[in-house]
Amino acid sequence: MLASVALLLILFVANVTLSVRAYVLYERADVSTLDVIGASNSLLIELLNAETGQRGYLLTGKAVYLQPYDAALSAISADQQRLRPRVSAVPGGRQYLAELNSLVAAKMAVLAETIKLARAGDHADALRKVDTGEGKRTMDQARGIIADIQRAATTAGASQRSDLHTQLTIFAVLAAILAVADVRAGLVLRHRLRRAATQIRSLNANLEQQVRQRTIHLERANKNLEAFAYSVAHDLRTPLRGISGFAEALVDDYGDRLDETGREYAGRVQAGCARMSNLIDDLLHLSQVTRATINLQDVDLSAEVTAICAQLRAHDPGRQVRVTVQEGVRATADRTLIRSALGNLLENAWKFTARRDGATIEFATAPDGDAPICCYVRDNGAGFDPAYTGKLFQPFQRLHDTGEFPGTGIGLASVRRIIERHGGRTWAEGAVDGGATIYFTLNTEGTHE
Amino acid sequence: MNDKQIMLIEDNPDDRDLTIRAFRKNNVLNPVTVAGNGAEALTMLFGDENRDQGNPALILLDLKMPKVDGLEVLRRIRADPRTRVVPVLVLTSSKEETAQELWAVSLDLVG
Repeated sequence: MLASVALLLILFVANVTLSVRAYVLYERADVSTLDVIGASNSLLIELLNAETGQRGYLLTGKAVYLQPYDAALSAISADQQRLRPRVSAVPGGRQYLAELNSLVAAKMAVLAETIKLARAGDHADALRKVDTGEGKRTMDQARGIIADIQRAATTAGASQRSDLHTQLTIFAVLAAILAVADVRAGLVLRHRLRRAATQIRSLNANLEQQVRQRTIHLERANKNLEAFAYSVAHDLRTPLRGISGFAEALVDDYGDRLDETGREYAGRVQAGCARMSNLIDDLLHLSQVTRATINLQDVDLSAEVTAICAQLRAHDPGRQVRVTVQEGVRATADRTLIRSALGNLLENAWKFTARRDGATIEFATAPDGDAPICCYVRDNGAGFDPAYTGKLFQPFQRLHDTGEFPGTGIGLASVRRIIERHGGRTWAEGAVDGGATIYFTLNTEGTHE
Repeated sequence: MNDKQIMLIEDNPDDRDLTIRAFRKNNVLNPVTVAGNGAEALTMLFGDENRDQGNPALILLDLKMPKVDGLEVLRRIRADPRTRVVPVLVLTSSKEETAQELWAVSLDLVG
């Protein structure tokens, strides 16, 4: 559409240019015809002037009569030069020119000859020559040819003007058509552009509306799901309490009537209950992490890590673990949530280095292009198979046997949720028996509730 | 001391029996009156105009019950001058939310 409008415009401009040129030619054709008429008339007059001068001289013998003759000589030559290009352009003009020039030459030759005779004192001889009537005949012929030339020039000029007039008319019509087409195309284009703009605007508005609605739906669905998870987990406690309580009652009250295997089974029921109770606790914790209101403040992460490690050490005094903490790492975060995330990460590190001599745990920052702050917790413990990195942060996914390292598989899932609520990302690096490094970024400008 | 009534308001039979068993195991031998839900507890506490048993010495109250829940029962106990001073032990596995509501009810009592 735009291309066709441009093309129409170009055609219009070309058309106007051609029209102007045709108009100039049209005007020039007129001038040219008038020029031919003027020059040829002037030539005829000058011929007559020359002849008049010659006659005066012949009759009187006075040199003063030769003045118009001399003036006519140069004027005739000038007129011939003026005529040459213009008449040549007229159809049959060269023929006329040749005839005219030879007549003029003949006439001038006769005039010159008689004047020469008269100068030599032979007036009678000169007058005799004039008397032959040859001069008059030559003049008549010249008049005839000049008339022919003027007619031819007028006809040619008129025909040229007529051609140009036709051209101009065509150009004018074309210009009108093109102008109408251009304006029409322009109007269509403008209409389409306006319609497109309106459509884009309404699409944008719709899109925003849709995004807003989807977001609301999603948030609602998420909240419902979280509430559901919370209530399910919570309701699971009641029957579990019954199972666990009666298993305990069975062992307490009737333990002596059970044999070894019976007591072991009852013990397994109790152990299962304890494990399920932990799962429910973790599930509720995960749910709370997602639902909790974020309360941002400046948090000294290094201090939190140091405090958590001191607690771990106090709880498990038998362990020899070298803890390295980068000092002065601060971030804007929800203190409770970030403490919980760091707790999970450090407990993991503590747990998975249990079988390592010279266990080390390191907390530090790493450069990251996207987020204002990127931290990691690194240990030299049991590590994990990098093939399962994707499962690491999924709830209830465990990469180790419960017997080997206890846990419910909720810790890293809850860490990820906490970090995501702080607008950050989590990822892990590690190898089997090569330790693990869990990275997280915080970008609280992107925090969402 | 041992003959004073303890009232247990609990809709779950498992929890009811385990609670009573725990009393016995720990030599708490007082008679235990059981209300299976909030409505029944309210009838037992206030329904009988000529009640002669008097107040229980202690009320054990489950919060999550159908129809009349524990909080409502607690509110009624605290609102009535006859039961206002009876100690109530709330049994719940819920955390923050209910704790706040309990505080609200207790503040009513203080006020």
